[in-house]
Amino acid sequence: MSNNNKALLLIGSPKGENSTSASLGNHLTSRLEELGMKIEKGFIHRLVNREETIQDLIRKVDSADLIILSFPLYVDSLPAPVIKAMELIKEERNKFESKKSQNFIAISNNGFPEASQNIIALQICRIFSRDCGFVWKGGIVVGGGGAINGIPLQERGGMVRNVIKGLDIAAHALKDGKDIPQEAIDLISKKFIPYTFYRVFGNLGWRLQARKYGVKKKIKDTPYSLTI
Amino acid sequence: MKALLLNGSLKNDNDFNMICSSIVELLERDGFEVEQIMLKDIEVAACQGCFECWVKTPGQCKIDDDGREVARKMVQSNLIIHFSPIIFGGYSSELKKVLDRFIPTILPFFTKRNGETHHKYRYKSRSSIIAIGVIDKPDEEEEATFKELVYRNSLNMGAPVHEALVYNKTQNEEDFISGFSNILKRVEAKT
Ligand SMILES: Cc1cc2nc3c(=O)[nH]c(=O)nc-3n(C[C@H](O)[C@H](O)[C@H](O)COP(=O)(O)O)c2cc1C
Repeated sequence: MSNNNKALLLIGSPKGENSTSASLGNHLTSRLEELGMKIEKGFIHRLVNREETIQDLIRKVDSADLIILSFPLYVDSLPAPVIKAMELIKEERNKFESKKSQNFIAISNNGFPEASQNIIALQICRIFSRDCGFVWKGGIVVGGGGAINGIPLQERGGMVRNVIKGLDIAAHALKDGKDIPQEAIDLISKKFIPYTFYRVFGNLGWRLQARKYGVKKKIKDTPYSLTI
Repeated sequence: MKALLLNGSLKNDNDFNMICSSIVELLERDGFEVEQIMLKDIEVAACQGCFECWVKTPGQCKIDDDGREVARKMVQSNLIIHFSPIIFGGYSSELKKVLDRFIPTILPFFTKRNGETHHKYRYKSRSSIIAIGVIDKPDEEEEATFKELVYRNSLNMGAPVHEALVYNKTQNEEDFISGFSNILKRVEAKT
């Protein structure tokens, strides 16, 4: 078997271990671990601001055979610190010709229920992978991230069974150095909550949270209005 | 009419600065009051993803830094120029750091627009967006991604006029500026 022993999970959510990005990434890496891969993990938001941690990020990336980038969709793209990490990694890779073949995949989850809204973010990841000389092994999109809400997938239960099934299939393929099969991509991005239901309950959820903080009546405030 | 130019430059780059000055000149000639912010020179922490700007301090981020002021200026401008090197088909991290901090200015509530879920708007009047991406040489994939990203942003932000322009450094500057000038006419007509 080719050298495909070490996987690096980079989590691109400010919520770190409590994020949906972590729920998805952790599930995939726990399967890869069962299949014999060694797993390393990094939280991008803690790595991009200081010289020592940037070096740590670069070292982690250099030593991985498979890099998994899992992040939330922010304003139709990736969160700013994740873009910064990509800029830094690319800059480093401009300096030398990489000696080994490294595989790269991306997992994008979003707040709106339509998984398809993540497509541009995946395209950005694919171009990043191309420019860094990584081998693109596929992208995964998950809609309705708020319904997972950072909880481990196994605990989320039946609702996310297709996500779990798809990630299991993806893990087997990735361990063998193959692309993520279309079957897995389709399963993972399958709607797991009716859109209208998500919108109605989502809106109710925002109101309940505002009530908890005593600002239910102020939720539509316009502090930056020119006319106040 | 107010125009806010968000300059997402990552480093000192002569071509980039030159095109930026031409744009500012043109805006001023057309009667815009222009403010340019060099984003790499201001303090804007990363969004923490807590949504408190929607449910605890509605309309305002809890982080008290320059990010708040930029969001306020974005709301109060007729035109926002996203000016950035094209990075892997998207914006630079410097431009993105302020766009991520823009979400206090929309409402949490979901609605359906163009057959998809989006958020309701917090403010009645919204800014037009012209995004200018600068790239060293033509790259179809990156340019298409950039244009699609700007289109999706405009859907989320409700921009009355939105346009993505790519300036590649091998191209004639005058052609580019005349393209920009035509778009500006559309913004003026709608403002
Ligand atoms: C600044 C910001 C911007 C966001 N932009 C979008 C967006 O454009 N489209 C979308 O569907 N969700 C958007 N979301 C929602 C997140 O993608 C969603 O909450 C996600 O599930 C968070 O994942 P995490 O737990 O891994 O951080 C945004 C959230 C924040 C905080």
